[in-house]
Amino acid sequence: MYQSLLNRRYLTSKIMPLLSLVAVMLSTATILVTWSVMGGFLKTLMESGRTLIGDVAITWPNVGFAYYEDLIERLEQQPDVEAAAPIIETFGMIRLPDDQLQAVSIRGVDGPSFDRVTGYAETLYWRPLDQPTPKDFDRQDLRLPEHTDPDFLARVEKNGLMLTRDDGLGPEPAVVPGIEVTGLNHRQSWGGYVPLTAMRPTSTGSIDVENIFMPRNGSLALTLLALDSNGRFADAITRTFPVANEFQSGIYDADSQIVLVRLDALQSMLNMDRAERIEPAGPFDTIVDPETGEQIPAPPRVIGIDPARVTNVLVRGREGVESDALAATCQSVYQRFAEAHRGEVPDAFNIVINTWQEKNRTLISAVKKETGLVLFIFGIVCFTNVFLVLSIFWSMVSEKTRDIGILRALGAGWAGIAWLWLRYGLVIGTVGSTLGVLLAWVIVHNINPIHDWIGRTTGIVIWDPSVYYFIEVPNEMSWPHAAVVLLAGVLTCVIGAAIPSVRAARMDPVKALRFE
Amino acid sequence: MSDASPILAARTLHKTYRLGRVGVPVLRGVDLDVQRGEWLAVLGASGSGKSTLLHLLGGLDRPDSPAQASRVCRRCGHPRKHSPGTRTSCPECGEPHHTITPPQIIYEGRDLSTMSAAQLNHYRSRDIGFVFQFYHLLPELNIVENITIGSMVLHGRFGYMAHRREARARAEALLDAFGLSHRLRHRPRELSGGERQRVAIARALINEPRILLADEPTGNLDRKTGHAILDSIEQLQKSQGLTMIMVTHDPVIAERADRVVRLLDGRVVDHLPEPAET
Repeated sequence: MYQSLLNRRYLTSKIMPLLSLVAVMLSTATILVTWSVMGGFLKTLMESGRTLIGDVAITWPNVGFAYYEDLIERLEQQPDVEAAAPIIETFGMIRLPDDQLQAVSIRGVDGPSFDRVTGYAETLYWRPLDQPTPKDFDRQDLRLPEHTDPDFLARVEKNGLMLTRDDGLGPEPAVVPGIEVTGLNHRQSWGGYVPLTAMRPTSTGSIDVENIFMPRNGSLALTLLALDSNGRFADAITRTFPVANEFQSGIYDADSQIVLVRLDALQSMLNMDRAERIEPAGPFDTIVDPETGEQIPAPPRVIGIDPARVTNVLVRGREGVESDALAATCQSVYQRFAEAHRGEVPDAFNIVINTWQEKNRTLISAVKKETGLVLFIFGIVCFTNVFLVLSIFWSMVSEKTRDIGILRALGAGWAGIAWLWLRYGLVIGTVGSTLGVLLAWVIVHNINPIHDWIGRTTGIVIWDPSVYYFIEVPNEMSWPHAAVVLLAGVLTCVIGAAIPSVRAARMDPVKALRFE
Repeated sequence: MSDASPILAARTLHKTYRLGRVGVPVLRGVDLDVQRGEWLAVLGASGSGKSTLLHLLGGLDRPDSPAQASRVCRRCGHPRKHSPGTRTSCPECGEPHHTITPPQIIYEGRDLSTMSAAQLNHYRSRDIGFVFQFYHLLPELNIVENITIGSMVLHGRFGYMAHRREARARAEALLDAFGLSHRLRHRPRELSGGERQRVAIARALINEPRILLADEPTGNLDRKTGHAILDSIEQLQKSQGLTMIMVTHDPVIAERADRVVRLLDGRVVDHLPEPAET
């Protein structure tokens, strides 16, 4: 009872406990803000890594597999499956307008089905905007109606989704490169992109200003190696495609290395489209020409049809379905599919079925390492906190030595004295950590306005959208993380108070009473 | 226990403080009997061991055991290098070494050395009231809290909830008796020295102890205030039948007690005659 009274009085009448309380509050808030921002950053990174992949991929690289429409139909009949889409993954080179060559990853996709599986439409960068993005305070974004005709942007958006562009000669297959692929878009301090403006002096002495906006009039020459159905290199094929739009997935590697091509066009280039299987006629086989009536060599005979092939089928699970469970479903569906097309598709044992986590293993591993690093730093801060509380409590116990002697003279036992200080640590830890969590919540929820205010008043921009790939500082606080930090804060205070408590409890009451 | 037996008795109390390797023997075999309801004054010079004796009687400290006492010479404090029995006298002062009999502090027939730590805490809390020269009030607590904290320590968290009203009423009654009823919410720093000492006495009496141990209770006060404090104590002691042991270096103050003993060279050396009743 006396412990509770003295804790209350010490806490309200002395500056030192208040200082320790503030120290606990600030360190708790600092840790939680850091963890929230880092955690938010890593979470965004993970979610972005899932973009363009779907939940599960059924893959037979290079050669691909046929009858994928049948596989997709079978998959979409499953209750776990939301949608499935065919794609081709390969590598190639692109030639930029300035004649630079660049190695890229090429994906052939069917826009609408790809969108159903991956949310591709949301990644298309050029589309009409009603409101500016969060950091675009001066409305500089070219996608706003005051800068670009919204109808034009709506057409560009639709072109991107369908991977076509109509330059007056009818719609033709087009490509959608990542926003960083061409190097012709400049990232701005407010987090958006502005296409390159080229200025060249002309022979008349004037300056020729050229806006290079790829989705309007740009094109890319795509070179890749076609394979035959046995996986042998056939020809190097080059074809120039108009640019329909550009995408931004949120992962720099994807946005700087991937070019999406319309599926049928890529199938055609790679000899993976539907084709007749022919057999040359014998050297002595002839037919009668119906027009001339003469004997002519017999043409090759069509002996069958080679169906179109893709290298992957991407699958999206329904809400709440875990990717591992979805992979198992895909495995069983593929097994039945392979039995139905025995000898014509890879068997179920060899086919590669990966979840998005498995495909992003490197990224996820890096994310986990980052999280581990944060927790390590968190541990060091906690450890520092222990010493902070220990030194403050040590000093307070010294200051209150005589009080301890008085209490012992009044009949208090050593356990009661130890509990007085331990309880004091508990109170400071609980109050300080709770206030720290509340402070962190306020800071995290307002971190972007606070950051903008600091930027406006001091010119210091910590989270620079032209450097970081995400425009806004992550501003969500995880309550389980908050609970861990709160518990750790309380625990560090109790641990920090433990040694001074033992010291107080072991104090000789006579010496304590004589303490000056 | 019969009324004739002493309420508190001390037998062969030795106490040595260590200063590095050298010991400073403060008490060298104190024997003392304190009768029920008696006001005993222990008169002694500064450093004679008066406060130490009070701490031992109050269970705040423990007397030297025979083994502890044999580590140094009882006369000069010189450490004994050899085990007891190998040398018979101190090489420093020539004092012959001798083993002491085990010390005893007997309260109501029970030896404090046989009590557990918890029993000793209860003894200090329930049966003893301490009054110090420098008041030793807790500066963060107000006057009422400074007094009732003794009851909190005695009863613990749940026990105090049951005794709260009773403790508070007694605290207010004591403060009223000391003329401090208008100071209930004041902090110690807002009171004069005399008022602080009255509060300290009230705190010592909150649990209605059998024995009051007062360590120079007027030593920090002017003579007039000191006597007023002694008047208050005397009145309480007489009206409640309280046993009081007061240590002082002032013979004038000691004269007010029922009996005076003198502490000299660590022993109770003489008993002054009882002062005549006035």
